Amino acid sequence: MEREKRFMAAHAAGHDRIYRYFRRRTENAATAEDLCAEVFRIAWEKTGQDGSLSVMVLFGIAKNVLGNHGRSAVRSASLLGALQLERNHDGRTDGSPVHEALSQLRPDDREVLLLTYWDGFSSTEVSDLLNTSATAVRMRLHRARKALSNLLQTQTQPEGAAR
Amino acid sequence: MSKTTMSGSLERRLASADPGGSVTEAELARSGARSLSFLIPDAGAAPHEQLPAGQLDGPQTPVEDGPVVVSLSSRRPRRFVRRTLLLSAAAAAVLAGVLVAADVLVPGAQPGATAQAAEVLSNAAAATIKTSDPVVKTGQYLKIDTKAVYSTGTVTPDGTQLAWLVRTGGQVYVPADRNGEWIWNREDRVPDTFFSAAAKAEATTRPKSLTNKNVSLAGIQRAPRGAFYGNGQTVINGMPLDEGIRTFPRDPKALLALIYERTKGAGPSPEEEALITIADTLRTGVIPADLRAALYKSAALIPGITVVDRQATLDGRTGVAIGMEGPDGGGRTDIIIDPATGLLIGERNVTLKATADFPAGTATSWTSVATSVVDSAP
Repeated sequence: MEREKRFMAAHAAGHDRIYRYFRRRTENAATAEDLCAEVFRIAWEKTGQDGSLSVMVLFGIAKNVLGNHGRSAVRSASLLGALQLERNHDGRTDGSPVHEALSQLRPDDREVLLLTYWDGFSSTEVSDLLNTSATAVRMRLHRARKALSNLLQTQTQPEGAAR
Repeated sequence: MSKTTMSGSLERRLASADPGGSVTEAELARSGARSLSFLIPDAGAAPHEQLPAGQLDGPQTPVEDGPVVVSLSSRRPRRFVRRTLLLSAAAAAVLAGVLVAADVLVPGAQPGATAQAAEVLSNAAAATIKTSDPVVKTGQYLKIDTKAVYSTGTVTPDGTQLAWLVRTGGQVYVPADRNGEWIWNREDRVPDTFFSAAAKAEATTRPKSLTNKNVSLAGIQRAPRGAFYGNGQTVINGMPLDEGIRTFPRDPKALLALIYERTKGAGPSPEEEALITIADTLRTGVIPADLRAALYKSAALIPGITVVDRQATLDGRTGVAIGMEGPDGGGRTDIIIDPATGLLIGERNVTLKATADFPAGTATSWTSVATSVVDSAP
């Protein structure tokens, strides 16, 4: 029973964030749902090994699951591919300037940016998740912000986007 | 543009392009249920009551959205019991941005709805014909004001499941030219109604980061064409709004067939998914009268719709509730129409049986909407 309680608590605390994490990085809701289910299946196995099941542990699992998904998919696992697929899948043809700009960032820099601003992680959490130093995270974030600003600035600004 | 300005708006631009921001509560609930389903042997067939002893105690529904079971049809076997859609119409309304001043036009013959329901819809249609669409002049906005309550909850570290209702809302301002800039004032989520002291304590004390809304979405957003999350508004499973308005058939049968086709494989049953899709579409608030009418006629063709309450009150307004009961008798989904004007007041989900968290008869989620024409927007 203890195991189930721990698992349910972890699920309650982490599911929605994990789902959004996948929704941001995969082509559609069905894929996000599949990967999310996989994460919690693995998490359940981990509760059997007396492991702690913090949100960060869940995200560690999620990162690996996403990596495997990317490798097994026909497309590259890049965000660009995911975003393009998502747009195509949803019949959305109006490319967002932000998405276009994001797709031009270096993948490592972009991931730090997205983990920070979309997934809401602190720089310490980002460095834990990416297995890198806090200094490296700060540097990448700075670089990503600067590059994104420049890209958005040089883009034409149709229809007064982002006033 | 100065660098400072650019950098200041960077977070906002990133947030507005976040695909995670347009995730609906229904999506979360579905995925939440799915990701627990492996714990239950024969998940596709076992009703809750027949769970093997020693498995998870208590309700098996995903804790994040409580027992808002919306199952709208018993005509077909449910394909995924564990994936029963937990619809938070409220959250969906807030996320999709909006709602509706609806005409209701329903023909006499109603193969789907009961005779009473058909009569209510017809009367509402007659009243609505006399009410012309609001005219939004250049410089003015159609303001769509939404209030929403829905259930949420958590599991405490000792395994106790707690649920309560939260309130939120927002106002969407749609410019006279829909291609112009839409403005959306989103309100925060506030714990609202509790059915136990423990739930109240948990809701009011637990850190925000555990609500899975670690970043507040409240505040004013602006986007051309209502593309608040980087993509334009879409209807009926991904069709761009303008294209949908232009091309969707106005013949109710053809429209319903198209809805079934575009939602094939989604939701617990085609009928349920169709009704939810129709509600989602109406909720955009910008559907022209002829298409709104067709959507209502289509809804009336879906089996299982009845009059459930002629004096239903939602957010202080009284109307007639038309609803569909879930096949397991646990809950019901209603839409509430003002019989005098034919306008849609809102929608709600009601528990029919007491659950661990809510007494029978609780509206575990509801959304009310009001539209008006205003001269300015924030």
